[in-house]
Amino acid sequence: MFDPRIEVFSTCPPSSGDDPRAYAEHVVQVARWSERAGCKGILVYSDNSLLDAWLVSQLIVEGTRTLCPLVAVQPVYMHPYTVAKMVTTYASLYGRRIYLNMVAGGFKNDLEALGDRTPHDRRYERLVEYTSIIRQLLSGRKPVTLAGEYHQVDKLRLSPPIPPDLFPGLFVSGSSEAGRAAARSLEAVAIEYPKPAQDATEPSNGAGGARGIRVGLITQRSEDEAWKLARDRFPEDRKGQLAPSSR
Amino acid sequence: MKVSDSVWHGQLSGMEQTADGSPYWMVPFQNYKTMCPYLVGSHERVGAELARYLSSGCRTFILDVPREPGDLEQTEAAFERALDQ
Repeated sequence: MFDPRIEVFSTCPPSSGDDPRAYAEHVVQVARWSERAGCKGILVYSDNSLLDAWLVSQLIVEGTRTLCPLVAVQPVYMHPYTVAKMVTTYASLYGRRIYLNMVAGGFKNDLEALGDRTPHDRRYERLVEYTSIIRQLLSGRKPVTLAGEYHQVDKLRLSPPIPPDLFPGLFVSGSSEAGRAAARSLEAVAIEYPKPAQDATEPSNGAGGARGIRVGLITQRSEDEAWKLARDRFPEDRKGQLAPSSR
Repeated sequence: MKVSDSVWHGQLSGMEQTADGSPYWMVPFQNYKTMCPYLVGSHERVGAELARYLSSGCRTFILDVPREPGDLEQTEAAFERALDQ
């Protein structure tokens, strides 16, 4: 089991790499391995080519006892009210806490196909406004009214209210200054893609706040065993690069 | 081809493989769309690298998709080394 001083999340397999008939089974299998190993949760990421992250998360919740889906949330995909409604519905139906991985970006073609040409830094401004609405709705203290730049809500209330212990964990993905500023503003865990650790011994730009990284690990008792396994899984030759099972 | 304008994607795409002996490995990101870099090596070597991230304030780690349950057991061993340092 992972040490309680750290929070470890695995990642759900992407639907693009599986036979559709076997995918649901694969998701539940990986979720159960993750739960047994002591992971806090499992990232369910999204892009235009993948199955819906919220519905895949339902497979995870129904197939495990404690594992928390870490659902990727992109503002172009749904209204903030719908995100809050999803979170409180999971709480009500399953008593399970959800983590939200707030994502401002994505593949450029995916965003443009949805008519979104918002520039990079303004996407983080939008993410802060969007996430603030979700947080206020889930806090349930009073109806939410906001005439924002990107969203408008008027005396909006979320029902049913969420128990305080199931209030979602909040992550913001982004390695830019705009991304880190968004995480600080939302008091969220800032998730970055790590550079070699010798370059990462200080918090970025001296910024405080909770931090995390997304990283793959292939580790074994010996160096040789680990590198052999790594090269077997990710061959560097062209044949390996084209293998359909590469994910 | 899928293209992202995110800063991290640009940073990682422009990064060369680090020197021999480093556990930091970019091949899965560059060739397999894993969307994250990898650390590869013994529990001690990977644990030492993880310890540096811990000392920089990281407490949350999002791993890639496990291929088999043993992957997570091996990962736990590396984190144990990291937290012992």
